[in-house]
This record gives sequence, C-alpha cells and structure tokens, in this order.
Amino acid sequence: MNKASRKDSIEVDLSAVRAAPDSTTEIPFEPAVPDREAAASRRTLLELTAFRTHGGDRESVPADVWPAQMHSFRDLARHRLPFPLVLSANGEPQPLGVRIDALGDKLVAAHGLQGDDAERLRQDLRRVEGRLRAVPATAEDTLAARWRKAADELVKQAGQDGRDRLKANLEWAAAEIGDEQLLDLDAAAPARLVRFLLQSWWRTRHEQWRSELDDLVEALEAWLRAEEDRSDRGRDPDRLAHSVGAGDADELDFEALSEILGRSRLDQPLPEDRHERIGALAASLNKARAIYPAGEDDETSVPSVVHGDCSAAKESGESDLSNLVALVRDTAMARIELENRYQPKQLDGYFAGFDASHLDPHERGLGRPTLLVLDREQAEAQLAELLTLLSGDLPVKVVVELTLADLDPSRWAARLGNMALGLSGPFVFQGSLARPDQLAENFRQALEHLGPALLVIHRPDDDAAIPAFLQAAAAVESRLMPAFRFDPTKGSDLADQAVLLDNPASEKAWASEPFAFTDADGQAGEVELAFTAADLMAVIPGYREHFWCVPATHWHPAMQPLGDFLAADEAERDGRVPYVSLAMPTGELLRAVPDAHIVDAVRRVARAWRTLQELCGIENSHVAHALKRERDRLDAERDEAIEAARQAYEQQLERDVGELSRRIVTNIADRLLADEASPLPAAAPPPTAKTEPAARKAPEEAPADPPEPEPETAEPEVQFTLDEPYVDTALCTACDDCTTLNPEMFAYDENKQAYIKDPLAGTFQELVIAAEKCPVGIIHPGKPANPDEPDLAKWVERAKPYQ
Amino acid sequence: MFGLKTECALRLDEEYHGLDDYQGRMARWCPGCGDNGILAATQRLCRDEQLPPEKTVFVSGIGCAARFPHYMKTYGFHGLHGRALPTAQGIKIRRPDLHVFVNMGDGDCCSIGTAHWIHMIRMNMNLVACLHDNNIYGLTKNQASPTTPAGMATATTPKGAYLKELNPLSATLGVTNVSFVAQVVEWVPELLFKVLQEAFHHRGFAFVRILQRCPHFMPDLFTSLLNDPKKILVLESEGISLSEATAKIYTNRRDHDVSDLATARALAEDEGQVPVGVLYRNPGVPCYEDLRRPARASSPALVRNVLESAFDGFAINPGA
Repeated sequence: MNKASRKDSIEVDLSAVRAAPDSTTEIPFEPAVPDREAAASRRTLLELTAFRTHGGDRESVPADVWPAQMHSFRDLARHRLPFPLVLSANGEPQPLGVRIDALGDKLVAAHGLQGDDAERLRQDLRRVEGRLRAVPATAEDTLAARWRKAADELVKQAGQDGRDRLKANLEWAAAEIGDEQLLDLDAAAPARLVRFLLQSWWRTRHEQWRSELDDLVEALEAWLRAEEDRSDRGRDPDRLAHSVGAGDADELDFEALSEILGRSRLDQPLPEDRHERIGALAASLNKARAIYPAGEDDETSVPSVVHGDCSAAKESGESDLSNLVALVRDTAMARIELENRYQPKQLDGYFAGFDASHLDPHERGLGRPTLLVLDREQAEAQLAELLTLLSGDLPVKVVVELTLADLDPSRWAARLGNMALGLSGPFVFQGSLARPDQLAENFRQALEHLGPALLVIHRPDDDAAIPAFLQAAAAVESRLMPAFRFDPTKGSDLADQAVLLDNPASEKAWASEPFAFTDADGQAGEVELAFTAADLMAVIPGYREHFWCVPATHWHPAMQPLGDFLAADEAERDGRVPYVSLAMPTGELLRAVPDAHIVDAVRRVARAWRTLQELCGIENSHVAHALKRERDRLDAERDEAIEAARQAYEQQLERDVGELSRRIVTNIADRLLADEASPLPAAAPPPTAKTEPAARKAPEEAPADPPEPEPETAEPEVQFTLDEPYVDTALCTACDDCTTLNPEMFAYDENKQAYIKDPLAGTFQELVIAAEKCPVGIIHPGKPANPDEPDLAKWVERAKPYQ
Repeated sequence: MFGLKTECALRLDEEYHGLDDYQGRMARWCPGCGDNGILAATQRLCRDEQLPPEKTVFVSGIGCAARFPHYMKTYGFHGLHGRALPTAQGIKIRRPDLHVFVNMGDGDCCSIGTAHWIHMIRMNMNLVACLHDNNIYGLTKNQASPTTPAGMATATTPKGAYLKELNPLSATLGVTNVSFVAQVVEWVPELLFKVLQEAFHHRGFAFVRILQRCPHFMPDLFTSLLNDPKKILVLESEGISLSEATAKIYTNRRDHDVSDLATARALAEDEGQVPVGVLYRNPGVPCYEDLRRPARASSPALVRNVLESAFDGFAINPGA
C-alpha cells in the first residue's frame, strides 16, 4: 500500500543491491568492517592522527566519488533542473521546465483536452523534456531542433500501445515550440548568459531616449533641408526636375520655375555660423544615436564586451563616457538651437568646458556599460587595475568567473567579493548559476547601477566528476562562494545595502540535512550531516591528495564527522579525528580524513562566512554586545528599583507596627484605667441575627412556552422544467446498464460516471427504458425530441415517474 | 539540498495511468449490482493515486465480490473461500512495497474467514480490506450469510433467518489493535471514493464495510435507506465531507472525532440509523511488518551463511 511507503520499497530494493554491488542504490551504505578490534586499536588511531596532523602519502579519494550528501542526486536527469535555459526573444531566460508546462497548458486549452487525455499530454511533454536534457547538444542548437531530436527518439522507442497518441501529442507540440537558443550549463554558460542579459537589457533600455534623439536629428535636418531648398543649389532646374519626378516633368519648364523661385525670396538665410553649428550638431547626433537600438529587433548596437584586459575595459569605458558627454552636450545645444535661443557669446564658453561633472544621474544612466569578463588568473594578474576600475565611477561591469578549484581559501581571489564590499562604491554580487533567476535579477541591478559593478560568478568545470549543476549548487551550499549582494545605492546603511541571498541555513555555520544510510550491520541509520567546504573539496582535483580515503579496516570509533568536529570545543576535539563522508557510485560510503591544510582552509571559509553573516545582519556581534549591555543595564535598574521598594516597604512596616503597638498599649491602658472606675458589664447577649435573610425570590416564573418555532418556510425553489434528458452524474454507480443499452447516447466521464453524451443518438423509448433499468434512478428522460416516434404516448406515460 | 528535492524528481520513466489502464475484463456482475460502483470507485482511486499497476495487487476469496481481481488490470489473486486475508498477508510480508487490496464478501469475511479477519485486525498489516456486504450468498444462489437480517427468508432459511445478524463494525471495533474502521454505502459514489481514499492513506489495516445492493436476491434490502436518506448518518471528519449537491440529499450529518473509540462503538451499534464515513482511526498502532522487520537486510549471501552455519551443526568432520 502507499501505504507505498517509499521506505518499504527501498528496503526491498536494497537486498537486490547487496547481491549485485555494481548497481546503484538510493540509500548509501557503510561497508562491513572486517575486524572491529583492529579498527579500534591504538595503532589505527595513531595512524589517523598522524595523517590528520602531518598529512602523508595515503590512499587519496577515487575520481568517481561524490560527497555523500549528493548521492541521492546521482540520477540527475530525473530532476527538473532549471537548465537548459530557453533564451527567449523578450530577453527573459526561462527554465525549460517552465516553458514545457506553459506549452502543455496551451495545448490542453487549444485541443479542449480534459481528464486523463490532458494528463497524458503533459506527461508526454515532460518525457521529451527529460530526454531533451540527455540529447547531445551543440551551443548552436535551437529549442525546436533539439526538441525534434528528443521527440523522434522517444517515438521510436515507444511501445505499440501508446505510440500513436505520443506521436499526435508531440506533433502538436512541435508546431508550437519556438526556435529560441538554448543555454546549457557548462563552462561557457556564465559568459554566454551575462552577454545575453546585457544585450537584451540594452535593446529595450533606452527606447524613449533613442526616439528623442531621432526627433532632434529630424528637426535639425529639416532645418538644413529648408535652407538648402532656398539656396541657389536648391533652385537649380535639374534638382527641381528631379524633385518632381518623371511623371509630369514634360509639363513644367524648370528653368522658368527656377527663375521665379529666385525672385521670390521670403526671408534672410541662416547666418553662416549658425548653419554650420546646426550641420555639425545634426552630424554628431546622427552618429552618436547609433549606439542606441532603434527597436527591439535592432541587433546593430551591442555594448562592448572585453575579455581578460582591465586596461582595455578602462579605455572602452572612458571612450564611452567621453562620447556620452559629447552627446549630452550636443543634445542640449540642439534643443536650445531649435528654440532659437542659442547665444554664442553666452553659451559657447559654457559648452566648451562641458565635461563629465556636468552630467546628472539620469544622464549618466544613458551611458553604455562595458562588460569585462575575467578568470581567476587574469584577476590575480591585474589586481591593481581591477581595484582602480572598481574604485572609480566608470560603468564597467566586471564579471569574474571562478571554478571550484579557484576557490582555494588561501587565494585572495576566493575572497574577491568580500574584499569589494570594503570599497563601498561598487555594486557587488556573488552567486552561481544554480539559481539563474537570481543571477539574472542581480545582473540587471548591476547594469542599472551607475558606477562599476563586480559580479563573482561560479563557472562549472566541464571535466569535473560532479555534474555542472551540482558544482554550482554546492559552491554556494558549501560556503565556498556564498550568494550575496551589496548595493551601495540602497538606503544609507549596511542593513539595507548588504543582503545574503538564499544561502541554505544562512543563520548557521554550515548547511545540514538528515542523512539516511544503512550501517555496517545492515541497520538503517540517520544522522544530521553538515555539508562543509571540505565535503566538496574532497572531490575537487588539487585537494584530493590532502585527504586520506580511509579503508573500512581503519574506521576507528574516535572518528567524527567534520561538521561535529568543528562545532565542538577544543577539549572535546582532543583525541578525535574528523572525516568527511563520500559515496561511491554503488552507494558504498567512504570516509576521507582531511589533513591540517584542509582543516585550516575550512576554518578560513567559516571565518569569511561569519564575517559575511555579520555584515548582512545575521547574529551581528555588535548588536549582540549592545543588547547584552542594555539588558544588563535594565536588569541593574530593575534590581535597584526592587531593592528600593523593599526598603521602603520595610520602613513603612516598621512604622506601622510601631504605631499599632502604641495604639494597642494605649487602648489596654485606657481600659484598665476605666475598669478600675466601673465594674465589668454583664456579658453582652449574643448578637441576634441582624437581618432577615432576604426574602427568597420567588422562583422565576418559568418562561412562557417557548415561542413556536416558526414553521420552516422553505424558500420557494425555482422550479425548472427540463425538456432535455439528463443524468445525475454524481450519483451514478457505474453499473453499465445504460452505456450497454446505447453507448452512443450514454457515456462515462473521467470518473466513470454516466452522462448523456448525445440525446439524439437514440430514441425516447431507449431513454425511458434506461431510466427504468437504472438501479439508482438517476436517469431523467425529459421530453421526446422526435414527435413522430412510434408509440410515443405510451413511452411518455412510462417516463412520468422519472421526470 | 543543493536546491533539489529527491521527492520532487520527475518520474520520467513512468507512464501516466488513466482510468482505462485499470480496467480488466468486462465486469460480469448482474445488472444493477452494487459491485459495479465499488469497482468504479476503486479504479478512480488507483488512477488518482497513480498506483503503478505492476505494484498493485487485488486479493479475493470466493463469491460475487471475489471476481474483483478479474476486472482490475493489475496483479490479482482469486483464492480460496475465506482465505483472501492470509494470502494478502503473505504478499505483504514478502513484498511490502506493493499496494495490497482485499475484496471479500460477507460470507468470505464473516463466516468461513472469520478467524483470519480477527487476527488480521490484531496484526494490523498495512493494507486495505473491503467487505462487500450484501447480506447474502449471491454466487451460490441465495443462502443466508452471517449478516443476513433475522427473519429474512433465504434458500437455507425458508422460514426466515434464525439468528440476529452479525455486526461487522462492532466486531472489528472490539478487536485488540484495531486501527481503521469505516462504513459506506455503494450508492453514494462520492462518499465511497472518499472513504476508500482515507482507507488507502491510513498506514495499518484499513477495514471498510461497504453496504452493497444485490438486486437479484435482495432487491428490497436497502430500499428504505435509498428512499429515506435521513436514515443514513454521515460522519464528517478530516477528508470526509459531502459536496454541496450531495449534502442536500444527505442532511443527517454530524462532526465525528475519529479518534474516539467509545463513540465509534456506540455509533456502530446504533440500530436506528446507518453511520457512514470513518468511524475510527488510530495511526499509532504498530504494523506487524514493522515489528517483524528484520534487523539486517536479507541478501542471498546472508541466507547462504545462515544455512551453512546451521548445516555445519550437523556436519560430520571426518578429521575429528
């Protein structure tokens, strides 16, 4: 039953796996420990500790091993990863799965599918989606091309039963699928994606501005044309003939026309200097406007993309800035000129000294950004230039791509994002393509930022043992490359500016999850296993030799998962040997002990993460200290207040007791003195009941008979007179009587309950017989549709009980 | 972890199963037989839960209801009279990954199979058992069953059944370890489906008594219930509620606490009305297969080693 507890099925599968160790399993398992006494010996512990402290030449981690936490994702094709991304024309990269689901909805609506047919269509599309991920692809593949490949394979392999349906569904889909580019997650993906985002952003960014420029140029050129028309050259007979065209040329005497026009001069021509100025402005603006796309389809203007060279990017940025200054200046001059307000004496000087400092933020925003893409080596080699760029105000957007191997905590490149935070000026983003939507959103914000921006993005390594997606996700999850954003324009303090972006368990040192496995004795176990930087480093080439992949013969009880080891205090760590859990493709678990270099590196990662947490407001130590100080102060004030109240109370008590004692003594003394004067009075009679108990209230009269409940006035129900036959479908018990009687007239819906498919597909007689046979009496024959049906009166009479 | 969830993985290799994928042979029950409705609701359950047909088993004994496995396109076992439950037990203990359903008639369950029934409740194995209760032996032509109402004339009791009828609900609710008891009538398809769904989702032995019409031998048995829906008391609880249209017909409803065993027993014994819905549910009762789960996973090597060591105890060592 589902009773189908997944656990049940796993356990059953496991026995088969044990029998065939080369197959994969869902639950990882520990290997048997052949000799537990030897494993727990002091000698083993010494060996482990020696490696932990000094390293050494030991069995390193095999190449096909993954971190144990990743084992359940071995069959990654089953997961709906956001890749490949569909690079749609609207500039919005869309995960393939989202596109497929939207396509499914569209096809279901278009073909009016319902119930099982709709579900099957969606399932068929998802199967193509899964296959499409596995189709060997080239970067040039479009969605339509790769879809066709995947669909063809799927149809070929389909069984006889469902092939026709599958084929029909996929043909519908093929007609609807677009021919957008696909972006797979590989080493080239980050650069391709940011270039796509940059181009699509730029294409739609300044439509309004381009249209303003077009209007300006048009107005300036209109002036120049009018001037030319009035000039001697404009009145040249040949030019006049040309302007009329071939049709009526024979009817006109252009020589005479030229002469008449020459005599009818209406006003003065433009002064020479103004004419020149307008000509220069028109030419300059005409040239400058070309960098702004004329529409969404205009592919001609592309922002500069520079690879690997900070100086070239700086030059490009400076050149773009000076062009922008000239453009803004010329635009202002042109506008004044067109209003006939340009006074050379007053304005020439101002515009001659027009430079970048005259630009307001809006005008700066019109500038074209430069994209600079660097890898680790390039960034390291050009540190000074890079820092100069980031500290300046040119709109250079620097993308630094780092692979997992580049994230060695001892390199400063791995800390580049954190370092840039200290500059306070540039926009900073760090993250990976595991969240392409996050990257796209932050890249757009970086482009909107007027100054420089730094984007540190993880780049997958195509040769790594782990798939690209898991590399990207693990880079963030292991804290080697935490996702964060720093936007200096947001608010005035760090609380608004620095944000951690969806790092798993961002409030903790390491992300952790329950990890289920089968131990060496075959018992199911579960532990909370942290995913530390070392868990990932153990499978990155270059670090592997810093781990000892300890054979099961050496699994000493003093071994402790690294996450627990790091969380323990110094005394608890004594005598413990940390390890990370790895899994073979078969699910067999391995333990890898890191040497001192790795443990040190992990501590550095943890410190950097802690700093980032503090900057982003998570368990900020300043806040914690201030809180403690304030709490202590409030506690002290409260204690003082309590003490003061206690003292005041005791003093008051003392005074009251003294006063009372004095009064008692005085009263006794007075009484004694009075007694001496008169004999004691007779005992006073006991006090009689002073008051009659209040006359018992007469029991409240029983309330009058409760008002008659108003007769339920049934709401007058609207009476329907249905001439059409119908079935109370929800009450149908699927006995097959009616559907057997006339399958054209009666059919089952998706829940196997009957309805009238076609009331005209049979006779009224059949409807009445069906109603009579129906064991739950839910068929209502209505009125006969055909007045000429034989014996109709009889059937109408028999139909009466079922109306 | 890593932004992925294993439980959300695409099952790309799995086919979507429609209602017709669960339809076995054409049902050959009498016209108007209530078993048809139970079959339709069960097929709908399988479809909605997307139970893989190759991982689903219907087990039956002998009787009209026992033809059920033939009409399901899943695995099935049409066994011996009264022995559906032990067969299902065997399947479940060896293959806990399968979805096991048992379909029994009132003769199958409450007469010849009573001992298995009682012990199955106590063992609380994780499966669904449907008692198709039409109060008569139909397949063998109209003999009194333990649930035939007293005084009802049948082929074996022409002067009327002598004994007061057995109450399967009270019987089940009285057994140690009972964990899920429901009752439903097959002529309210919506409720039948929901009750089956609740039974399916219960981890433990889910016993569902389905009052079922036999139009051939007992045509008037449930007429009064059909004509007067007020005699049916709908127990509303989590997962069990009626649609607006059906609620207009079945106005006799009450909220019911399914964890309240005493009330469930009182309702089961109420002869004035027929309670339908989930009477009792206790997810805390341990399942037999969990209690008996082997400490270590079985493997051919393990079996061989155990056998070898056992045989070694009888071996003669010629060298000794």
